[in-house]
Amino acid sequence: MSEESKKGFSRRSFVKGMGITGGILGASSWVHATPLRYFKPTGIENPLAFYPHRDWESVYRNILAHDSSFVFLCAPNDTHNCLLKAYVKNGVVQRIGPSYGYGKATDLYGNQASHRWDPRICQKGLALVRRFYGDRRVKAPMIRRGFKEWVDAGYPRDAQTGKPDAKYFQRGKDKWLRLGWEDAYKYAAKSMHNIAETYSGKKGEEYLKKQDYDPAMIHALEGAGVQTLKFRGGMAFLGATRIFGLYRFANMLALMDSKIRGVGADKAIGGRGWDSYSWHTDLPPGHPMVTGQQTNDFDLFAVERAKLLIVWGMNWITTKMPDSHWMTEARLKGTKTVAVTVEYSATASKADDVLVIRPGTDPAFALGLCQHIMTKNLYDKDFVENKTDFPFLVRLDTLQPLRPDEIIPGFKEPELNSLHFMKVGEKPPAGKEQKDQFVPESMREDFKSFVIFDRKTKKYIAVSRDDYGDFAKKLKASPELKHQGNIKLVDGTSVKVRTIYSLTQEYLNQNMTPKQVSQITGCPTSGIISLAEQIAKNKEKTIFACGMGPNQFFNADLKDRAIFMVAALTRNIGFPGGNIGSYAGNYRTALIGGEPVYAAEDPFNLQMEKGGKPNVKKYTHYESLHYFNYGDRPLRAGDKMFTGAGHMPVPTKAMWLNNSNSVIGNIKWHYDVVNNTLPKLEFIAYSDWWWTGSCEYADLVFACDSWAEFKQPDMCGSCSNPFIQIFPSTPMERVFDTRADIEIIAGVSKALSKVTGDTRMMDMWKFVQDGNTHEYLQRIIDASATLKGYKIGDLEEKAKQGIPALMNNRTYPRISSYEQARSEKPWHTKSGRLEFYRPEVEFIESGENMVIYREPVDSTPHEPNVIVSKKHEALRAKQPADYGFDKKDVSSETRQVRNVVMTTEEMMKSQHPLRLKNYAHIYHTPKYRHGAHSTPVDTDITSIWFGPFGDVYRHDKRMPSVVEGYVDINPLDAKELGVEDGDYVYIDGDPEDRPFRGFKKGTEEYKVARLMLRARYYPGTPRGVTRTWHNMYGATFGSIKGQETRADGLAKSPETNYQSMYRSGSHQSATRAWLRPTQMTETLVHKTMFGQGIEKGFAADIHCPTGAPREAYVKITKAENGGMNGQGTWRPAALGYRPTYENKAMKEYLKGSFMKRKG
Amino acid sequence: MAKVKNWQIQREMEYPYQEHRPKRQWSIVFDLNKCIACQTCSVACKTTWTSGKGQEYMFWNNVETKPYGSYPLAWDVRVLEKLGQQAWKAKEAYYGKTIFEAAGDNEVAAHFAPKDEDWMYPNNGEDDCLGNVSHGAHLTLPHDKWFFYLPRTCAHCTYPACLAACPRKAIYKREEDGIVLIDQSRCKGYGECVRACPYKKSMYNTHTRVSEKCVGCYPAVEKGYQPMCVQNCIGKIRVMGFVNPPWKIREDNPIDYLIHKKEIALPYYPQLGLEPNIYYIPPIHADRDYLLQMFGPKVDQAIANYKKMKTDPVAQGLMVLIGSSDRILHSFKVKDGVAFGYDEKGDEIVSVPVTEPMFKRAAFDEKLKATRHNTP
Amino acid sequence: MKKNLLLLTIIFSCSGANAQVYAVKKVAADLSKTPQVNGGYWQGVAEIKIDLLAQMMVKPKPAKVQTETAKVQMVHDGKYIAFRIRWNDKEKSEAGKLGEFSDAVALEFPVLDNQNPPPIFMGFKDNPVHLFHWRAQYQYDEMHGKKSVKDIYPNLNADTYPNEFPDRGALKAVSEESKEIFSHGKAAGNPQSAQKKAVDELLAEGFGTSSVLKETDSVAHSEWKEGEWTVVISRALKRPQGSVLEIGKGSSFGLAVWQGGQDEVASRKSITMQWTAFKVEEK
Repeated sequence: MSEESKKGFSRRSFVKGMGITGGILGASSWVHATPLRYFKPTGIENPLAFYPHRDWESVYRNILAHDSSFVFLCAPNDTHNCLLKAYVKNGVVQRIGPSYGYGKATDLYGNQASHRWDPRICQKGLALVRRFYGDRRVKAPMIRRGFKEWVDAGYPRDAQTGKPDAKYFQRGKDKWLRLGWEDAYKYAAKSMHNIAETYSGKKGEEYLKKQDYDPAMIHALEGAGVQTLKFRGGMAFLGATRIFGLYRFANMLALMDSKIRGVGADKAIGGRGWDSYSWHTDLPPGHPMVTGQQTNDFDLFAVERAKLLIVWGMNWITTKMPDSHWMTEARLKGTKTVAVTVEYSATASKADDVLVIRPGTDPAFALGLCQHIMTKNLYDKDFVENKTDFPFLVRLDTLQPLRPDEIIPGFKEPELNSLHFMKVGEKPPAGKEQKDQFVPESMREDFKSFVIFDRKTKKYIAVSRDDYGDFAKKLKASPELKHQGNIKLVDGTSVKVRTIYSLTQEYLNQNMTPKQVSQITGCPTSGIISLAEQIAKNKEKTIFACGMGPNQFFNADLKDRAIFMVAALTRNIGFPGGNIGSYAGNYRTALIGGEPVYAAEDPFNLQMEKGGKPNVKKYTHYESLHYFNYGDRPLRAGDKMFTGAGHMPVPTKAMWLNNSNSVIGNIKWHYDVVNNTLPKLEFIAYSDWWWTGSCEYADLVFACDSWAEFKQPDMCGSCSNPFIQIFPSTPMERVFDTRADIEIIAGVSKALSKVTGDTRMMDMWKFVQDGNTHEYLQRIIDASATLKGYKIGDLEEKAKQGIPALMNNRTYPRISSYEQARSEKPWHTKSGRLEFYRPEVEFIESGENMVIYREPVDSTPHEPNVIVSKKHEALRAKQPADYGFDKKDVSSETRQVRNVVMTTEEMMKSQHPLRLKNYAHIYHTPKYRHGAHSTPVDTDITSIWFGPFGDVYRHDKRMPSVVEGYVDINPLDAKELGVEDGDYVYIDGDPEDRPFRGFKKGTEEYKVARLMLRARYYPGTPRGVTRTWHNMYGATFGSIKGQETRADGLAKSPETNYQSMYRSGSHQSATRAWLRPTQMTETLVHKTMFGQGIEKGFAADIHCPTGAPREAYVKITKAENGGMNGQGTWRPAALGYRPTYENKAMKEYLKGSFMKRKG
Repeated sequence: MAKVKNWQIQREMEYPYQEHRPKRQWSIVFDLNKCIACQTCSVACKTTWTSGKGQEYMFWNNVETKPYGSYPLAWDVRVLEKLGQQAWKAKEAYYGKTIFEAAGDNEVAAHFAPKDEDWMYPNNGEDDCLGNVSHGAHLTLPHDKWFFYLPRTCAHCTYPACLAACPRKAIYKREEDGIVLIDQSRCKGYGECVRACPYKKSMYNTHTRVSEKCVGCYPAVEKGYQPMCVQNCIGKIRVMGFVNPPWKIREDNPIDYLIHKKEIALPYYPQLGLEPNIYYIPPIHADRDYLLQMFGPKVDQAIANYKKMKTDPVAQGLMVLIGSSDRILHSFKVKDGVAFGYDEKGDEIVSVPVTEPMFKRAAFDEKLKATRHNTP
Repeated sequence: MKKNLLLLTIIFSCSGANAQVYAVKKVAADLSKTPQVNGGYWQGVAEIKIDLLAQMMVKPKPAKVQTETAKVQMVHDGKYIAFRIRWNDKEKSEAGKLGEFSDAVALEFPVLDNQNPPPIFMGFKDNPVHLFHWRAQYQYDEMHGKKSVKDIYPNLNADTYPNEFPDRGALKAVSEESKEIFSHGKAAGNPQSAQKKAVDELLAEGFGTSSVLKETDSVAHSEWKEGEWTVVISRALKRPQGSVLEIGKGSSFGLAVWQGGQDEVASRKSITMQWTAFKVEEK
């Protein structure tokens, strides 16, 4: 015991202290262990001045006293990653606190962060103390009864289709059985092997045809059944070894494939990897379209270097909590703060100016700013002429860039310094040593020179990729930005050419004037003009902090391209105080650039030596999870396949995920996945330490150590702060029968080596079995440019003291495009510049070669997804007829590729098809302060704060938990619907496909899936716009059973303890999967994930679908009264303390009338 | 009834006991322009002090959204209602009634007694703004649609209503730090403190059958550490220290500096007459009449002073020093863009830069053979 | 100043007992056991009608008197003396939820000098009174055990309590005492936090000074029926560290009644303004 607690009270100290005999009441049903205290009659004169016996105060000292403490890392999906201190008493963690060690973090050169970083923690981290010991812990390996029976029966399948009998797959309704660890590993290994074998070769193809998979998907399988096994480390950046371990595992399965198909290492394929950043709709898909890199951003603490901060579609105050002080401190020191938002949000309440716009109209809003900046010539000439493609000429016949060799006889492309072309077989330098950009020679054609028109000499001049930034000046030309005219080609023909600037400006002047943009967005013109002028006044000093909001709309990439245009026009990209960042989820594993030496170590050629150099070879193909979400289908509409070959998914037969609740539990279109997609799967495994909605529908659940119980260290980083963080191993004993994630992967691999007889699968995890995961971590560190020079041992020791280390990037804070803004490097694009014109065929056919505005695909009262434009000669989008479907067909599926064009005025008059059926509300589902994704929202003391309906005593038995889901609706809308504040309502999305395709009213499935929740009068959201937060746990078959059978009516599964926060359905009842043609191209050129390479087409987390989870247009109908147990109106409203219900006193109070100003 | 001096309302007032000021007075200053309502303070307090039986509903520290939020339900509306309309002239004493003066013949203090259901919904009103944002908008300061967050602990008042109302005199004020405690060994749970405290920071425990309240984290304060709600404040909006009355100001004391020297921090609902010892830097975007009702007529000046900080390196230094250490800052200094915090003995506890430095690293480290890209 | 004058006059006028002395007959029964509310020995025992007033000496005061009269009967068995007290209360209040208070009644006796009792208002410094305080809430404790929070709020849902887990897994069991560390009143040993017998015994030397006695041998029982409480408190004649009654000699009692349903608690009560004298008869 510590000194502190020794001083704590004991019986003795009381008796001595009081000089009064203590006595113990006779033992009763109420055991009372502490001696009772009796006093003489006590008279006290003035308790302000003196109080006689104060020794009882030791009671509180004793509560605070602890025996010991230790540090662990809390790292959910929130980009912060905080080293927290756990305080132990009686062998139990009693409470958690911050480490105050962030101000001690240093880099390799002795640079040190300041204590302004402290404290790093939040309410969710503090509440973990109730989670380590909570009753929803996964306490041992669990297997679903039906699945076990299928395995034990020897995997019986239908002879024709290969499908197992559905009786074995009653997921969500079945019983669960405990397993020993060795058995759990065996069941997993055998099942994966059986499935891979079943779907390999010709026989496998036959089965899959009979199961009606898209032929293109079957083709993509290449006969390798192992590819039907899908793996995902949930937000793998959060676990360099344990979470990335699943990708290493997938790569390792090439060994199993070579056994099953009898092929060598040259032909073997691994299991498929699923994406992360793009799956979460965190990737801003337009960033690679403009900059060639995954995302342009900066460490958030850079904001104090800006004079103007625009927080755009980002609820910084609720989703970047530990970094909020950087924003509020910047403001108090003089940074003007502006919020672009769709409601009066928490962040709006910290802003000087607030601009409220209609959800999903962000691209239009940004284009409106551009229009004003261009029209008033407020743009930065130098930046626009030399760092963007605006001056480049485009041929109006082909819509392709004009090339020098088309007009200059005998023109030869210069050899480029800014890009190295790799010969076939040539190896790039090691990742951490890659200084310059490189690309396979096969892509040479993608980097041809462009042409500008020189204002002075009136000549056409060739501009190569080397002529970026300041290097452009050596051309001694001043490009004519607005040039257009006819030009004679070398072949004698004459074509019209125009600059990208003039094409763009025409579009903006036609469609995006402040007046038109005000119509579209609802923001007064005053807001558009004043913001445009403030930005133009703050060159290099305006920071755009963009968030998940607009990112979750179908037109997300257009939003990115448009905001980049604003920033480019005003010289605000790549500067410490002037830049663009997009903040949604955590990503950028490239910061730990050595990851491939672990995740893609060649299983055929393992490095077994400590300190040896691993060989890297990737056998795994990746694919986007959005196809699985879409029903395990690619995007086909009319007679066209819109999913590029490089993007093509394969059938999903088995999946294993760790650290993830986003693929079943909180997946978009959740109930469609549960009812239509999961039944096609034969094995679903999860590794987790908390029983989530995903576990509810799994076949096998591995029980993991909680963060506080880690026995094997791990490492992670963040896109929003400069720290490299270690999960230290801790002294806390395992509470339940759990294992480390990485031990579990090693265990399954070992079992697989028994099944296959290939011991290399076991060797793959040698250092895990030796209890020396440090070896893998050190290998990664040594191969990472940002980390080389660190020793994992030292990092872990520091972490145990609550101190992280700094990443060694070019600068602290890290600032994307820093090198480009200083003309040290070109952007990772075709031209080396920021590109605002996309000549690739997919973009032209979609009408998105220019940056244009599209309406949201569902979240709009107007006709969805229409292109807003007057006739424009460079806009040649393919029309429904071209794809062979009816122009009137606006169904969700065809809508995605429908390129119908309307003028602003026509669009504003048009209507969402559902409006005729009493659907009247946009329904969006953003994230909030009470959960990091869905962690740890169901913990009582965090969820009690989640909105206005928290009540730990659950006076109203209808409450699913101590709190419940709700929809925020404008009071005026609610009154029109006859809905009172606090009433229960139903929310229905498009009946064509929501809550799931083929639902039938009256079925159990529908009862579980239909969304019922509280309505909350919310004056901060515009009319027609409703919202439910994204984070809560949805209803399952088990939670409904709990409500119906438990005495206390809790929506808690009697079988699994899963705790729902909705009576039925969830916020995902109204969402669905969406696929977007321009995010599935074969042609977009961009930087590779790691290092300075450049590639094109599909790349997980860089160029692939991102979905549109914030899009839904719904009907809201009253279900029940909000009053206690359904009687009358919800109490706070009935008493007159809620908006529009104000009683007399409340009215006075709101006006401030209880204290009059006098004189 | 005794006549006691209350500097916050600049006059003498009636109170059941003689004036007695402790050697030192525990105090917290909150910057409402920085509060993010994350409830980390509330949960830090809960996991430390009120995770036991009968405490399930209790939040000694809570954060509520004003004007619609409240815990318990409409606590301030209902107390102000009891007090009725009052008036206060800028730069003058408050001549309206305090809750002691408005108590009447039968009660110690004008009050409302919360019912069981009033303690439900601790975050009722979260992010509800005043005024209907019916369509797109362009707001500038002060916002015509607004809300702000109000974090609340016990104010360890100079003239506590809980103490005044306790029939057993089981509530007392500690001489060494002014923290107000309910004697857990003598309280009989009559609930008079629950009724009388206008801020509703005394709470009844149905399991122990006695009342409880915020203890100011005295076990930490006694060791020189800030209370849990302050240590855990990631908005870095709070600083706990010891406040002096205006006639004993020490300018390098962070608390005195913000309250008395800069006059940017004000007590809340001073008109109630308790001389509460938690102070707030008012939100610059909210409605002034409402703020005056809550903070008194000095609020306009306080907001004007706050805005002047843009050009005040010393005040800026203190504002970024706040929350940078878990220890109690007894004094501070700002020099050449660096803010320093000191303990009671004058030894340095922590120092921070007013602007976080920018480190630039060479594009390539020859020794380590490592590139330094910002786009790795 | 005025108030104080008034106070003094009241104290003065109320310090003496009123003229009438009520005889307490002996009955053949063991009153030390839980007494019978409607036991035969109550039949024919004279009923004293006692007028009560709203407590007016100290704040807070009840706005009006809630219990205007109480009916009291007394018997003894040679060792114990029992008081049967009845008053009207339209609702039964046993407390439990937040802001709920219990119905209660208290008997008060002088300690030092039965012939010259101190002022009836809770005694004076160095001149204590001996109180027997019955609460409906305490009666419930004795009969059914102390209500748990879950009894009070049946739908309550808390994930864990300190050192008390739904599934302890590998954790070692923890002693009650270390659980109670986090239950402040219990950790402080406050008798109020323990399970109660139906009646508490206290000593007081003025308002707000009362303190519970450790040893108690009084017992009580009660019944609420058709808007009326009947409570029997039976105490030992001789309570060495409290009031001592002797056979053949007399003393006097004071009475206070609380109606919890009307938020009466502590000084919010109806009380007798004068002592009621009685004599413990031989037979």
